[in-house]
Amino acid sequence: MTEPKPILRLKDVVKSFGGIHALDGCSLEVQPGTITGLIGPNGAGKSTLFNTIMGLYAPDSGRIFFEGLRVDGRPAWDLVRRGLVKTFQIPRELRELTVLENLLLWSRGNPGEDLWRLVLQPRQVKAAEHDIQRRAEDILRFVGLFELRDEYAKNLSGGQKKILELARALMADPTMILLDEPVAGVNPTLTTKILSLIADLRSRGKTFFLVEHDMDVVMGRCDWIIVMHQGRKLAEGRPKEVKADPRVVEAYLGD
Amino acid sequence: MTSALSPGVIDIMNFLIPALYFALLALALNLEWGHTGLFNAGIAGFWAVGAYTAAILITPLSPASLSYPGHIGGFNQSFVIGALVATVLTGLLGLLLTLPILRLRADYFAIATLAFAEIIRIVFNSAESVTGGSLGIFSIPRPFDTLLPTIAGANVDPGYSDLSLLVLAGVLVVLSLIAWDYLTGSSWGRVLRGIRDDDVATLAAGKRVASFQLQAMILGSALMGLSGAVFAIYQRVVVPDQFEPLSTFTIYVMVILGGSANNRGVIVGAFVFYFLDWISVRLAGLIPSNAGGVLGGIGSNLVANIAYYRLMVIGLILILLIIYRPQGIFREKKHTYPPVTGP
Repeated sequence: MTEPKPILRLKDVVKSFGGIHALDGCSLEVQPGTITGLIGPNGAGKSTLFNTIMGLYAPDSGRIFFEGLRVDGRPAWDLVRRGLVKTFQIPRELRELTVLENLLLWSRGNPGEDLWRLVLQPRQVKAAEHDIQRRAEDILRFVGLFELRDEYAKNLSGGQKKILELARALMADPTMILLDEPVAGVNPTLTTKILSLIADLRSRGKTFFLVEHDMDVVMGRCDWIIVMHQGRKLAEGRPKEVKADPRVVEAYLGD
Repeated sequence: MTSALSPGVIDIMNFLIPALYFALLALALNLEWGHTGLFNAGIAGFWAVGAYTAAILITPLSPASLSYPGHIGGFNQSFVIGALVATVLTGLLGLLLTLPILRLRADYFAIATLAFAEIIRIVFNSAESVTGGSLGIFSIPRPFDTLLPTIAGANVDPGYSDLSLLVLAGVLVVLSLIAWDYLTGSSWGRVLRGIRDDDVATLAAGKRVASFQLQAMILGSALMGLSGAVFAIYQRVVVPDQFEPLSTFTIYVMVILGGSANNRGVIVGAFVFYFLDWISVRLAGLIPSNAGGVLGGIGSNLVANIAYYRLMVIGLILILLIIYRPQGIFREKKHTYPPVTGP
């Protein structure tokens, strides 16, 4: 049996801001169908890593491969089109759009967003939009935001905005989701719900790569953990192995 | 000059026609700024290009003389062709101007577009043999005048001339509103509003943000060009001074007043703001010229400077509106959809 090819692979990625090397030759791999956790002390470069993978920052050097295809330097919209989406650590809800509209915007390949098709094929556009709305409503029911579908996104609570982030990502029907602290600041009930949602989606073949500081979540839910320190990978392994690694304990976990 | 229509009616038509071409500008800006969040401070420039393009295409050649430098022309095109070329050309200009400056931050984008408008105005003022310089292009024919009844031989009935223009401008506003409502109410329009709220998040939603911004600027600029063409035939003359930067900010006031991102709202905003301007000129005209002497002191000062007080009163009304109704007369409509799945 051959090893599955990594869905995401980084090779010597460097990203600096001024004199600070946020990513300092970072190399790592994420296997498909896993929930891979990314941990590390504040300033280790986790969020920068996610933004760089997503094409929101251009790396200074190094290479990034998604599903075997080189993607560094490609814009974010192109990565989404290829099936990679990211949620934001601090929710960036589209404030003056409703909850439903936030989801509708995340759908991929909506013909109604093309001016020509809007004018020339109004009937096909209507049919496609109908399907997209049905998908959005299913997801809203799934995450428990259906009743709030016509509320402006800015009026949601902090926890609800976190769920909206996840719901929007699902709407894109991606193969891989980068989650930047998906349950930080979310109450225990919702946290359980979000985590079981992630586990459920993983069993349906989706890959998750997530940053999280809650060690119970990371150790309990992830299949594989990558530890970052000072802009590069310090260690990786199964939760138990990482927990026992003296370098990880020194850099991050403490006693 | 006498007319079949009463002076009062003509007077009101001369309020309505400018209000309508301002409404076209407000609709155009509403797409760019109200929906997409693009701070276009160069409206006057796009308006000028539309007005001059139409004027050059439809105005017969005026011979150059000692007192007039002349202008390029002699194309003898109909208004339809003039307006169409003005619309397409201005839309194209929107594309060419926006391409290099789209990556600028909002404030620098505004400065760049403002500079563009001033460059246009100064070039039109200086390129005398092309545009007639500071004297501009005059005797611009109105499209329906040849069909209209005449009075005293050669003169066209001024009332019917205005009426034909009023109908034309009204039809253009209605058609533009229908098109704008369709576009802004679509999934395409939703992307624009997403960009306005958070362009990075919209990028992360998989949308080619720059492409949508360009599309909004092309369509907005094109409608500004069409408004310029209507302006040219209404005024019958275009000169660079009509396209001062102040006119750009007048349109912003109309959009904010009526309700940004509400197409009907900004049309109302254009009418309300222009009405304030128009009625204040007429009220000022009603004050007898000897009133200052009768009132004495402050009264005479007021009458002498009525033009300035007029603007102050308009400003005050706008400030009160912004304080007590910052979202405008009509707020942005919430876009809701009846569920397509069961309860």
